[in-house]
Amino acid sequence: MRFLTGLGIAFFSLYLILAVHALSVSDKNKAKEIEAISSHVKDAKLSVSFKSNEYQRFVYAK
Amino acid sequence: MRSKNFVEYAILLLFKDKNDHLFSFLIFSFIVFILSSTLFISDSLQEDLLNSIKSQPEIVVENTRAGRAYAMHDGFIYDISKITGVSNVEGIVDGYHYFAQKRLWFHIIGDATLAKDEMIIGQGVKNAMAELYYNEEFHFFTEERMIRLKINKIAPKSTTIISNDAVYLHPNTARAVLGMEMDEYSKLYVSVPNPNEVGNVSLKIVEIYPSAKATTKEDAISAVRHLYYYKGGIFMILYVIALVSFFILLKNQISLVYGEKKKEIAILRSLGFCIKDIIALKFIQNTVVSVSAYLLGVAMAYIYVFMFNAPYLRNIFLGSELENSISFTPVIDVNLLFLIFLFGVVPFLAFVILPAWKIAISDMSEAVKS
Amino acid sequence: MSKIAITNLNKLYNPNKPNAFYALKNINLSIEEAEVVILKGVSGSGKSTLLSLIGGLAKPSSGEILVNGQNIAKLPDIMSSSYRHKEIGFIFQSFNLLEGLSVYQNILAPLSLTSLSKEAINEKVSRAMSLANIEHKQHQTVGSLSGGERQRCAIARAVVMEPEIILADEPTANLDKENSLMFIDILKKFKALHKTVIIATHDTLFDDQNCIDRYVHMRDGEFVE
Repeated sequence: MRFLTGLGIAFFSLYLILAVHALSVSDKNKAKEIEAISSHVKDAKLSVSFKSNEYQRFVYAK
Repeated sequence: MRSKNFVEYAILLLFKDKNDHLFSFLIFSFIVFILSSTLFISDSLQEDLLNSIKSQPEIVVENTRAGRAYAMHDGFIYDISKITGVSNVEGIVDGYHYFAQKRLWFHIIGDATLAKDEMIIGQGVKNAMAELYYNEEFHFFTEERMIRLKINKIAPKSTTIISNDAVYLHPNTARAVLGMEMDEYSKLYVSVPNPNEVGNVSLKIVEIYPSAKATTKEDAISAVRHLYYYKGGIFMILYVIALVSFFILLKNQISLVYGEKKKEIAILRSLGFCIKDIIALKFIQNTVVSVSAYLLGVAMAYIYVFMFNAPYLRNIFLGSELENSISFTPVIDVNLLFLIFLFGVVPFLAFVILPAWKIAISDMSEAVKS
Repeated sequence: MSKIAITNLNKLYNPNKPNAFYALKNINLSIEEAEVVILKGVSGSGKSTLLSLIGGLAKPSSGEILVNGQNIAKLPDIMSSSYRHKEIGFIFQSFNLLEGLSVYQNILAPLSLTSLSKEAINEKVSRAMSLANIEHKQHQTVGSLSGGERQRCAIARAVVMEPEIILADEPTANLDKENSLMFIDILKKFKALHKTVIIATHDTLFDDQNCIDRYVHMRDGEFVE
């Protein structure tokens, strides 16, 4: 029983720390900043940087 | 309800075979860790992206030629603004500049709120430029000339998800960098106040310009939701890894009731353990192992993704060509976590309890004599 | 009423198969309370099978086994298990200890099915270890014990629930002379405690022992005079 009690306490403490972390991470600021930047660049896209061999971007033909 | 003594004895027997159970514990934790990490990262990215498309215009128009993006001119703006239901059409400049020295593409975005020589760059761009000692200013090399611009500001770290590879310039400066004419546009933002008319308007745009692509806000939101849809490419690999590990685990689980363990069950039966007691014993032992492994896997995934920002794994989602310092906002999808629990723990238990039951109901007199 | 009354007991192995054979044929036996009985016979005479049936480890093909008036031959699993748990103490030829556990932890096994307090459990285990003279080894894992010590651990486990009937299958088969004599001493303690004891053995050491009340001879699944 001691083992189970100890295990329970250990996990409870761990999850308590994670819960505190989750609540303390202020995402309101992040959301505001993202909204701000996307209010004048409205068509925002996910910023990825995968290796690509082809020139798949803009080609301006004359 | 089992007595405390019974539960304690079950745990005692668990520790007797701790190596076998440890193996199951570690594999199961790993599987849960992989699945939860993937879940956390994709949910977090989706949440941020959904925030970023709040200002998305009702329709975004892009032109194509031979399947490639192609610039538009004022005539497009004029024609589209004449469509009933359209309140405003705004042309913008957007494109990619090839930074040859590092073989990278920078996303050039025209931002009319900036001054002519003002430049804001994303974190990843800053790092890439700095590697070649472009700390104060940057040189854009076009076909015709070199454009020198001072680096004024770095986009806030929290916006990395959309700004990491971006360079924000005044639209005319952007045109110069991209080699576009002053009356050319990359995209058109079309405002349609009445949401019911959006569909009609986009159809009309394509009618007028058959080579154009008209993407509605709904399409964009749907694309975000399907961005990391659990089907494609790298996800299959991750899930295959999880599946293979799972089968190894199940095989190990079955072995927990064969060989020496079969005799152990017979011995306990001979001491007075009934069939239900044997099943309860295996259930208690494996519940402790599986639930602990699950909780540990999820906790490790949380720490890995939301405290350490998922090193290595985030490159699968975001690419690794440009250094990405994105921080993941904690987003927890309880439903999916519960599904992982259900589809993990239940087979884990079943693959031990079913064989144990089979052995428990068999003749113990021969087993105890051997 | 006899403690154990066996009537027309038969045990057929592999029924309806070409290699079917009777391990026990028409056995009739009465054993009184506190009686010490030796089942004598060579290997294959059916004495182990008889012991298994009395101990509720297997079911007969036909016949009755009344223990304290209750027919244990037809009990459902829960009641049969309860019977084995409370009424019977079985000492196996190969001891059947749980490897990897200590002497104390092995003896604890039957008590895990009870709701006794820790103190009561400790007391019972101590008493059992004292009877079997294995207290000094209680914290050692059974894997490190000698043959005689392992048997004494098995004896302690068999008596920890204070059953009224003790069954021993070839208890001295894997022991040297010294340890075999130690078993005889423990048998005398059982007698003093008024336990009903049935021992299946072909060891001549049990011949002419004062503590034994009766010898029953078996051959080919039947009693012989």
